[in-house]
Order: sequence, then structure tokens, then C-alpha cells
Amino acid sequence: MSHRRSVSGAKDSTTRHQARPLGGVAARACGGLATFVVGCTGAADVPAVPDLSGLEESYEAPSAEIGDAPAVQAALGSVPELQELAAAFRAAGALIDPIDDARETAGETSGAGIRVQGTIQIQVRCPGSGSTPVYDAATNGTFTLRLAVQNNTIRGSFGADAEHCLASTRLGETQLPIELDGRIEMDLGGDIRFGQPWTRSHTLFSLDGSITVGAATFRNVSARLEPDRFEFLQETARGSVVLFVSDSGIGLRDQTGTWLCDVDAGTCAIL
Amino acid sequence: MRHPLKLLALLASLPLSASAGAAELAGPEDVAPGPTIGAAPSKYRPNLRTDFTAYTRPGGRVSMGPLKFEFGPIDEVTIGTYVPPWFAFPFIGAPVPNAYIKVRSWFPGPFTLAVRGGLLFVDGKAVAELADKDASASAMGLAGEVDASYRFGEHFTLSAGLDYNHLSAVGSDEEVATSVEGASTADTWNSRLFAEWKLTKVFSLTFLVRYLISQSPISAEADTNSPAFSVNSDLSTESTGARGRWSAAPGVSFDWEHWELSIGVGYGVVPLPVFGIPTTKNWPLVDFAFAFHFDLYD
Repeated sequence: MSHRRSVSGAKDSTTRHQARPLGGVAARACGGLATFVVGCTGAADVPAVPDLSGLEESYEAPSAEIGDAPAVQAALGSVPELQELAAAFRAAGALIDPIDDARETAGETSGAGIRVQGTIQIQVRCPGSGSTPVYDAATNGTFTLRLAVQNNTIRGSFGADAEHCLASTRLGETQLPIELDGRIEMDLGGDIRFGQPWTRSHTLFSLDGSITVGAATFRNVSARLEPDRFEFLQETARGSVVLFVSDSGIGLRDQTGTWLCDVDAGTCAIL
Repeated sequence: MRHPLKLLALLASLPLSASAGAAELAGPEDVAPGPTIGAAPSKYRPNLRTDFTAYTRPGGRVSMGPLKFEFGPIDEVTIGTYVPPWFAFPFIGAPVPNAYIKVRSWFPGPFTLAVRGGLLFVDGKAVAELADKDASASAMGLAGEVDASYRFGEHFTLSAGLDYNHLSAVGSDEEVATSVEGASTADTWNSRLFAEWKLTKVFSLTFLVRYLISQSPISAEADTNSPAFSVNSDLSTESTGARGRWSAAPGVSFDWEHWELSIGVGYGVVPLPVFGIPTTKNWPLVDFAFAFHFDLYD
């Protein structure tokens, strides 16, 4: 599977960020309004799910062999907005929080001896880039997920469509506006079974569109998000490397190992 | 949050459930086309069984029982209702209106053909009472059947039938319900064979065999909205295990001048006659019916 990427824009801040959950996105549906539609009978269709295994493999085993610290620094320098990108994807990751609500709701249709299948579509009204969320789809756009339900599980791989979805994220003390647009395929690393606890620990993104954070716009990129780590697959002349932002710092993984860099000192060391 | 199976469960829990099977087995009967049973000419018109057969009640006949009320405005048409659902309000907060109509062929002879349609409505208040306090959707049961009966002489009748039942949850007063997690629909096709051997003018042996042809997965669609997001579920549920399909119930019936009684004991899939929703597993089943009938006019 090929993943086109391009990066443009200017670096705005180097402060490590803390992801800000998109306020209210995870609000429970219980207080909301549910409408009712009579469905026709027959087994509900299960939508096809994207296969991101190739991309996952690329993250697990980058192909390039960088070899020395200057080359590592050069590779990191090719994405100067890495921390902004990390902040943006963490904010985007929060957009899929309602999956947990859907899991609870759909889970109530299942039970012993019952098989559930079909589709769950979640339309998130994006909160906007202001300090107070404004859930107005016309103003701030939408983020729509289409989940496949099969054998009492929500498939961990799914697609979503962002339409001028505006949100914000925080990088240090700076609040940055984000705009997400296009088709995004995601993989949570495993299926979500009804009736069982679920904690999101891993999200792989493949964006066929753009994500703008601050003044930087990234097009057709992928990313892998874990609770304490953001990874970004970058092509170099020698092959692919994985750039990362973690609690330990910024670094790079290549075919031979993991490099951790001190941004201020401008040094990198292999672990 | 509720789910469609819960809705089915509540429907199954309606008081009529215990009596419905009985109501079907025990349905009062009337004059059949062609020769009457019991040769003696009399003002009394014999009561041919209407459940599981193609027969209707004679024009002017009323049958009242704890399970069913039926009236034949003319020979070829019977209208009726199941009684217990009307009195469900002490338990579920609302009566459950239901009615059916049966029309048989007009031509004489041993062969009779009939169609029947029925409708049942469970108000949203009842659904809310039984399923969820927030629920306001209603449930609708539609039933249709085709029956054919053939009389082999004076004493033996064989009937075959095919019935279709559709259960759905629908919007309440304003077409669109304001709550409930999931509309529910289910379609069920059943076939049956019913034999009646009349040993005397009053007493008959009966035998009913049912076969569940198909039951669709239950469809559930629901929209849930909150300020931040909306969730639309289009799901279906179905049983994962092997399900029973057959049931058999031998029985007896008595038909006096103004009273009718039938009882049968059997085993197998137990359908709710009003809804046609069968149980997944086989169960012992008891059918019972009892009614008084009289003629308003001849």
C-alpha cells in the first residue's frame, strides 16, 4: 500500500504538547435526542473495512538505514513541524472518542446466543478552533466515521470522512487551530468486542487529504498514535524512517535501531 | 439504552402470550360451505373450527371467550380480536388494540380457501413501561395467512396454512418516536397442517403440526444525537445457535350448542399467534380455548 505524503508550512513552536481532548466530543448520548426509523428486515450490511496492515508493517520495520547522527538530524529536520503534527493528530484522535458510546449502545443489542452485525455511523460535529467548543456543523465542519459491526464486535479498522473539520490543540502554552479535510482510514490495532472493557492504546492513521495545524499543512500523510508516543512515517532517499515524539524526546527509528535526539543541543544518540 | 430484542421480549411478555396459542388452537368455528356436520337438520348451525382452517363463522354468529371475540357479519367473513391485550393496561399502562379479518371462498364443495389479516398496536407508553422509561416508540404487529381446508366426508377435515408475521417498531403519535434505541423489525413465515377428526357431533380429536419456514434477523436502526455527535446504527441481530422449527400438538375439542372448548398438549417451537414470533428453543406447549357463541341473526 502506498502512502503519499507532503509537508508544507512553517514551524511554530518546539514545546512538547499535551493533547487536549476535544471538549464535549465524548459527551454521553444519553441526554440527547434519539430518533427512530423502521428498518427493513434481513441481515444488515457490513461495510468493507480498510486494510492498513501494509502501513502498519512499514511503521514496524522502516526500510532505511540512516547510520549516523547528522543523517538522523537531517531526517528529523525534513519535518520541522513534527511536534505540531503530533499535537494535531492527538486532537484528531480525540474525534473518535464517541466510538466508546457507540460500543456501549450497540453492545446492548447483543447477548448470549445473539449475533449482531451491521453499520454504525458516527457524525462528530467538530468543536471549532475557539477556546469554547461550538458544535455547529455548518461553521466548524464534521468528522464522520463508518464502523463495521460483525460477530458482536466493532471492527478496529474503519474509514472516516472529514469535511472542513475545525478543532484546536495545545502545544505548550500555545493553542493551535486545526483543520482536517479528506478521507482518513484508521486502525485501532484490534477489534472492539461488545460487553467488554475497551481502552484505546493505538491508532494508525492514513490520511488522503490534508491536516492543517497552525500555519503548517500536511497532505496525504500517515501517523501512528500511542498514549505516550506519536510516530510519523517519512520517506528519505535511503528508504523510510519513523520519526517520533515521545515523553523521552524526539527521535527516529530506522532499520538498525532507535535514535533519540536533544533538539536544543542538536545531538542524537542511538539507543 | 434499549434494544430490539428487549422489545420482542416485552411483546412476548404480554399477557396474551400464554393464551394466544390457545386462542389459535381453540378458535370457535362455524358453518362451513357445503354439507353440514351432523345430518340432523336443526336451527342450530354447527360450529366449524376457524383457527388453522379456512372456515369462518356463519353470518350473525358471535363468539365470546376469554381469549377471543369473533363475529361473522356474513357467512364468508369473520372479524375478531384477541381479548387479553385489550386488558393489558393495568400491567403496561395502555391497552393493546388488535383486530383481524378473515374472508373465505364463496363456492360450495369440500374445498375451502381463506385469507386472513390481522393488526396489533402497542402504544409507546406501553413500550416505555415495559422496556424503558425513555422509550416512546410504538410497536406494530401485522399478520397475514392463507388457509385451505378439505373435507374428507363428514368426519375428517384436513387444513393447510401459510402465515406471515411482521413485527416492527414504529414512530408514535408524531410519526417519529422521540426515543428508544432501535426500531425493530422481524419477519416470520410459518406453515402448518391441522387435522380434525370428528368422532361425535360434540367431540373431536385434533392434531396440529407447525413448521417454521424462516425468521428474519431482527433489524434495528436508531439515531442518537447529542450536541457533539450523532450515532446512526443499522444493525441486525440473529440467533447463533441451532433453533427449533417444528411443533406438534395433539388435542381434543368439544363443540356444544353454545359452548366450545379445546385443549391440546404438545412440544416444539412456541409461536405467539398475534405476532408470529417463535421461540428459539423447543418447549412443552399447552393450548387451551374456551368460548360461548350465539346467533344474533341467521
